Amino acid sequence: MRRRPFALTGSAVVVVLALAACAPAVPTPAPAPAPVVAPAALTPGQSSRVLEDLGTVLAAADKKLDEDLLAPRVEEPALSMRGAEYLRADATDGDRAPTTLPTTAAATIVPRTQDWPRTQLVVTEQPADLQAPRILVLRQDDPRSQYKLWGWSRLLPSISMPRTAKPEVGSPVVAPDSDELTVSPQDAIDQYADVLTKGKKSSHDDAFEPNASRDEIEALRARNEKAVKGSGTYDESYTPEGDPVVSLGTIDGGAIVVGQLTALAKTTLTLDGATVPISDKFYQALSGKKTAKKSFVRTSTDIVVLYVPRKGSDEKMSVLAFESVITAAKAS
Amino acid sequence: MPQRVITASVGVAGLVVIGLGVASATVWKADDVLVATAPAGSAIVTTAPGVLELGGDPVTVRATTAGGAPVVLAVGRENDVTSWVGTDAHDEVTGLSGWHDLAVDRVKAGEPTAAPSSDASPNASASPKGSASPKASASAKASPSASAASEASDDASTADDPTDSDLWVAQATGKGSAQLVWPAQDGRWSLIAVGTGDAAPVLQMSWPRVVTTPWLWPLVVLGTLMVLVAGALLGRDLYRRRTGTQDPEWHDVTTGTIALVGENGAPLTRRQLREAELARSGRPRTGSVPRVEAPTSGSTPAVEAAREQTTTGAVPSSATSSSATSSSAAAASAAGGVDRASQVAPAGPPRARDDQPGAGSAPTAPPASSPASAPTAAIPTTRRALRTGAIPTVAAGTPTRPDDARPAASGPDGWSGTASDAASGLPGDQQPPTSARRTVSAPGWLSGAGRRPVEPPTQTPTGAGAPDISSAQTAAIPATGWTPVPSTTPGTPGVQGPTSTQGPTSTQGPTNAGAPGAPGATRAPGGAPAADAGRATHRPAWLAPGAPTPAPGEARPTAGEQSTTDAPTGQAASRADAWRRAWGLPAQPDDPPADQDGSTTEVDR
Repeated sequence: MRRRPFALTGSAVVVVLALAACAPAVPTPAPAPAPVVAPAALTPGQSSRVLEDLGTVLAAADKKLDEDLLAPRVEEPALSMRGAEYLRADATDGDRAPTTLPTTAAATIVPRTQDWPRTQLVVTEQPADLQAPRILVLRQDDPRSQYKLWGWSRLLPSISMPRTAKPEVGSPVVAPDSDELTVSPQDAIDQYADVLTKGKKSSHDDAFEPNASRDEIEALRARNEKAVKGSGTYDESYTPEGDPVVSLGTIDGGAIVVGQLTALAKTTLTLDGATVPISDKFYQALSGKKTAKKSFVRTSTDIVVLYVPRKGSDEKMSVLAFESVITAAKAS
Repeated sequence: MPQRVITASVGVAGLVVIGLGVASATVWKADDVLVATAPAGSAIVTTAPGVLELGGDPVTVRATTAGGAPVVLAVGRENDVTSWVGTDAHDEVTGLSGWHDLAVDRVKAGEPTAAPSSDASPNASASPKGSASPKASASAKASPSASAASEASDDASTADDPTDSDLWVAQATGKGSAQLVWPAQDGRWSLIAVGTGDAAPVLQMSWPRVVTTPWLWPLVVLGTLMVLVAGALLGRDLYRRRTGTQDPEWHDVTTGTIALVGENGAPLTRRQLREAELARSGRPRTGSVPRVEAPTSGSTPAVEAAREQTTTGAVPSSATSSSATSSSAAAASAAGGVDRASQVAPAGPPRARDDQPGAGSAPTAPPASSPASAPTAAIPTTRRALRTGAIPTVAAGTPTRPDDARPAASGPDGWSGTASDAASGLPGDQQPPTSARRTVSAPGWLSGAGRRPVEPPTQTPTGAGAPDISSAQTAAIPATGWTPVPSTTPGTPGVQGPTSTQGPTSTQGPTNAGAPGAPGATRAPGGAPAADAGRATHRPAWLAPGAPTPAPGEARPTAGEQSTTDAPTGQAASRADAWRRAWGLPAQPDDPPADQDGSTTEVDR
């Protein structure tokens, strides 16, 4: 009789095991295949979050005109530019307020990359004061960094932005030395710097469509030259700062190239006894002087956004946006 | 008992099956939520792509740290996560190592897990390789072991805070614990959990599971069926117990009997039995008795009478059968077929004894025979006879039976054979007695027709030895014996003279004759009045007929005795009666006694 219990337990065990055998196997990860093409570096959500955060930071800093508050979301050269504007605003008691920087995106050009640094361009809505829309250049230098405002530029009048890919898809990143364009991004920036420096004497003068910012620059130069004439000289030079920060391909095969130029406007007094009064409080604040006896050097940080057509195109390069902020002045 | 045990076990098995089905859908049902955890290790824990969607959608990730240390949970693209981690030591969850455990790959610091992709900024191609990086790290483990070891010590050190990184698509933070729900999305997504304090996070991931219970209903239905079947069987068993129909063996026997009878017109038997009863009730008709006499006078006439009585014209055989049937029927009517058998058996044996002894006690046999014959007669006459009370006539008719009997004799049923014998016997007085014996054996007919022929003789002797038993066996024969009845009839002729006399009277008388054996018993019961007696008588008659064939030789001697024998038979019958009483059946025994006692009297009835 003792056997029965054993038999029962035995059969029970068998049944249990049989039922247990019916249990499904442990699931294993089945990830989506690795993308052939890198996805957009930022999702629209991430982009808007970055902008929102940026707006918050700018608002806080603008309110106190405190450059230090910009650190979390603003980096060079924008940091210097914004700092100069704060200084200017402070020097002029708010008469010349910092450039309005909307943080609401009208369009976003997202790089399609998995590498760093990553740079995205944001075309903002038109500011409330009906100024030209801005192009914000947001850049993430490394994985553990945040996207920060690298620079901004303002769209030139009567230009149209080339069509770019949807932000969900992302735009291809064009290498600085790419040969798929009429001119490599690097060369494009160099050439435009040359044009701005030399004007119509530049060999690349006809490589660029005429644009309002260049006209303005030349007009200002002519006026300054005229003012100094007889007592000194006036020179302007534009120098590209390193490689273009970013080049993002457009749908038509061209590229939007963003570069930084450093402009030096140097007034040299050749006439003895002549002085240049520094009436502008901003300049006074920058240079710390009210008059310049020998020379007065004004440094601008310029952000230029070019459109470079694809190779073989008959189009000329054009300037989409240009922004120049005087970041330094030196009187001697 | 074994049946009951089996039935019960089936029922129990059914319950068990139901239980299993229910258990499969409850106790053993897979969890609705698949929860797996990874033990605390590195301050940084990441998941391989696909792990988040591993067990379902959405995944709920919970990270806890000891001492309420701050912890961050975030989800980002696989590449972003690995890039953020860079070369830091971290634990990578690669899947499930069990239903409740996450498989963790511990990556030491300095290993190029994500580094390559992040460093190789220009390589667009490099980034996709990020996915392959884990493998690279695995291979790389060996080489940088030194540096890795040194850096490994820093594992527990506080990690950078990934909180609010622009890389993340989803994020949750907390002190001590953080929870994040991540609905599955296209693409390769990874989770990163970082304990920004001193404590490494314990990662727990849970997914909703779609749990099916495919075994529930099949098992429940199967089990229910088993239980129902078992219940039905048990119920039937109990019912039988109560009603007394329980014993299957009896049934079998009965059936056999019926079958046997059937050959000769079994269906008729019942009817005949009924009719017989009716006839009894209407005994007045017994007036037929006179007929009996007539038949008695000549077997042939009897046959004729039988024919007449029996609806069947050609029937001699049929008549016989019918008569036999009737006789049997009578018995049957008295009690269930079984009962009859039993009854008969007892009755038979006694007779047998009688017969044997009969050798000496010839008288007994004779009576039996006579009664037997009578019944036989009744048989042919059966319906009518019964109704009419023709039974006596039957006796007369017995001769008829012989005809039938003979054919029957050839057949399994001793009947015909017996009958033939009887028939043959008829001429000789001896045979009739034999028939009587047969009658004795008749009870046995129940047992088997085939035996009848042979057995009868044997039985007869046996009967002598073990009256009851033998009789029972014999009974089988007796069935056959029915036919014998006719023989009896023949016997009757010789004896018949008397029998007939009795016959008429005893239409029942014959019955009584059968009864005779029983009579004694019957009487004892005393209770069973005429009706039973009548039945009993019939039976005996049967028996007598059945026995006939084999019996013939033996019977003959018995024949003479038969009459005498009856008395003893009657006693045997008494035992049989006991059975009937137990069954609540009308006591045939009584009849027999009646037969014996009143064999004349009752018969007369």
